[in-house]
Amino acid sequence: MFLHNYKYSLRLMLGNRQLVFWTLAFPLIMALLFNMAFSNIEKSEKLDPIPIAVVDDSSFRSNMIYSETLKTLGEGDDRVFDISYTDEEKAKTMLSAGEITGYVRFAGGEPKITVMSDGIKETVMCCVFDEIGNESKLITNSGMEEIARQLQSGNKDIDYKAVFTAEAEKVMGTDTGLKDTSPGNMSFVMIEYYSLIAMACMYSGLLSMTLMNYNLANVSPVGKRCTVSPARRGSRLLGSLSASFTVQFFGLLILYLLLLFVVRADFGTKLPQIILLSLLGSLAGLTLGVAVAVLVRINENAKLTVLISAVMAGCFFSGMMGITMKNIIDKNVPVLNRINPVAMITDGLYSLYYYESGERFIIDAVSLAVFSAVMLLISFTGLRRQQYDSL
Amino acid sequence: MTVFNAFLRVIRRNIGTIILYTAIVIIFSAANSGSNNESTGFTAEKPDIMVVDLDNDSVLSKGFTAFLEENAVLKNIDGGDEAVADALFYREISSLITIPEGFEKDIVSGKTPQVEISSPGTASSELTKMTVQRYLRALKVFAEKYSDPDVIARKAQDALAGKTEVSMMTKLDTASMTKVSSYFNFAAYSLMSCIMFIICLVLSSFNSPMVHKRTVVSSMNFRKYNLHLILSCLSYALAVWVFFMILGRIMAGETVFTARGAAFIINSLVFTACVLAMAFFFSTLLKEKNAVTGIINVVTLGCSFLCGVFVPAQFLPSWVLTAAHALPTYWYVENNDFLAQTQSLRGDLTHYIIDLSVLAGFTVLFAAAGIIISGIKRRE
Repeated sequence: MFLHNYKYSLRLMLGNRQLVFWTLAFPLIMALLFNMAFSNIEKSEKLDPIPIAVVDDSSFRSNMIYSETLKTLGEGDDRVFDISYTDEEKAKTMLSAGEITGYVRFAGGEPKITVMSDGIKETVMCCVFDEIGNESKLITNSGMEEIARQLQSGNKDIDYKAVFTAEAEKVMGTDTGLKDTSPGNMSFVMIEYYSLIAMACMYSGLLSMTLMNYNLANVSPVGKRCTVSPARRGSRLLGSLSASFTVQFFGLLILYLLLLFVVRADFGTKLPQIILLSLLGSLAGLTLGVAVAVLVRINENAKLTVLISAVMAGCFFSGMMGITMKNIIDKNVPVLNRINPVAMITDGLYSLYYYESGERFIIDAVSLAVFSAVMLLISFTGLRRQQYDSL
Repeated sequence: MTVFNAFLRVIRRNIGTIILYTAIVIIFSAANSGSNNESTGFTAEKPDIMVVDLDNDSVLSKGFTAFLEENAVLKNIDGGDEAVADALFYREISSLITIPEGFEKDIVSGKTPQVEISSPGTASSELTKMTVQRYLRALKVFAEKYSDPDVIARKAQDALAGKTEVSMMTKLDTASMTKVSSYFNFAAYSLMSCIMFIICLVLSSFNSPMVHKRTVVSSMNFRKYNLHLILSCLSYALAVWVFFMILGRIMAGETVFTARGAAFIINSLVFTACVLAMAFFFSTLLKEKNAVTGIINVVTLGCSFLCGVFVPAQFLPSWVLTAAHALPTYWYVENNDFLAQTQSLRGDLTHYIIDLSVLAGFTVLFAAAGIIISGIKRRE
């Protein structure tokens, strides 16, 4: 009986186009859309060389400190600026056309920057010019102090150029001792893909819910026929759930293959834990579907809407529609993501990718198992000893 | 009246969906309204950073923190190391700076203390790194000459006080304009979803074989029936558009009712007409009502992801933007972005009109394709 029910459950699911769309096709479409939309977003957060223009007139050429420093800053692979040397009119035209972030002209030995708007590139540009100005002042002041000191100590034969060159080398060559301790895996777009996996896991609820509807006498005619048949309820339900789990497993496998080989998402190196989490996530989805089917006593389409809305709300709180949302909820309403299975799966995958430590992952995995157990318990309570006076 | 009533019944039954898309646009606009800097002067970006001072607030570490505070927004993340690591990952802070124990002692004695910076490597964190290096360099230069921490801190502060003069070429309030354009861009998703979902549901209900046969054999004049259907769709689309324009005034501010705001509004009206034509076109393709949710979700999400509604167009790969030229949403978003940036709308009116004409072209194309397909289906 189990195998019979398993086989027909598979046929029912694969023949239902709406179900196939939401559980198998929709996550794949979303993965491709995410890939197209987000493939560039992290590159654009990095600081590429900033395009600027310098008004190349006599005032600029006579300012040795700025002209030499800008020449250095515009050279090499790790250059700060892509510099166009031009006249002011051309610089204005370039700025209006959005070809440059800003331009600089020199008046009275001081740089005057013109930009189009506020922004991080504009701020970096100003910061670099501040730095050049400050350091040139620092070199001048230190040089003057050094000259004063030498004069005080009775040295009348001072090589001024040598003093300033020595001060410049001292300032520019100072080792600040700044140590970069940034962690390795910082790609926050991964949260999108993790929440997508979580969504796909939870959509397995659509499969189990549809099959449960075929087993419930108060929902469908098939349910009435199944209920009056001599087949054991436990065996029927087990067959349905196993079939749902099989379809879900293959759906997830396709999604993982697409994410790994086409989208090239990074899941870290802990493959067994990822598989365990996906299976627990799918179980959570299946049990949620059973619970909705049993407890929500409305028509089939309305149940579908309830389940899809609940999963989408879960996705929203775990960062699918805005990556930072998960962090905001974790910080301000932590209890919400503690009971949100989508957040548990997303957080588990995130912890494997970012921390590579077990504790947070174990909490997420156990939470999913507890969630599934609670859903099953509620469903069994609802299903036990059901009797109908009339249907 | 029968047609109108049927239309209203479908709207009532799906009011939840309309509320959902409205809530999405409100949440998105509210999230975007955080930066309310309505000025035309240059304001330097201040990255959010966290400073951990392990030198027990010594004079030099205090001076260092004060300098960072001038150039960044100092945040304090509670909840231990993991909460700080999470904040870095989610870009809540762009850098974590740790001033080591014995910082002042090392500086004064001519050693190089190891200040640590942890960051996701963004432009903001690069800016912070530059700021930190500037200060540390100044400290070390003065530490060679002076031994009193107070003097070193003061000298460093003075040496780094000078700022380059910055002016803005635009007289446009770019902050307000960005707010308006991001509202109108995101409204594209909600407009498409609300209009296409409901109209496709209504039209596919009327087009279902049984209802269609009953309509054909009824005494109702076919021309009148079509006219009622068209008028219902038009008034629904117009009502949704008016609703989102009022919401725009609330969410995006008074700029919506300026001359430039009017240009945004006209652009959205032409886009609404195009969405209506798209809804008509897709309803002719749909065979069953159950498929509406799936198809409309794919169309609206696809258009939104590829055309710069969810992710600003400047962050999209160039090949995606090139492909997006084939979708009307691209031209709508492109026109909004153009309106937010152009210095003089009067001078660049051609650009605006070209984008509007392309949108109008798409409207005609979808409507014509819908008429042809429904004609073929009727003959079948």
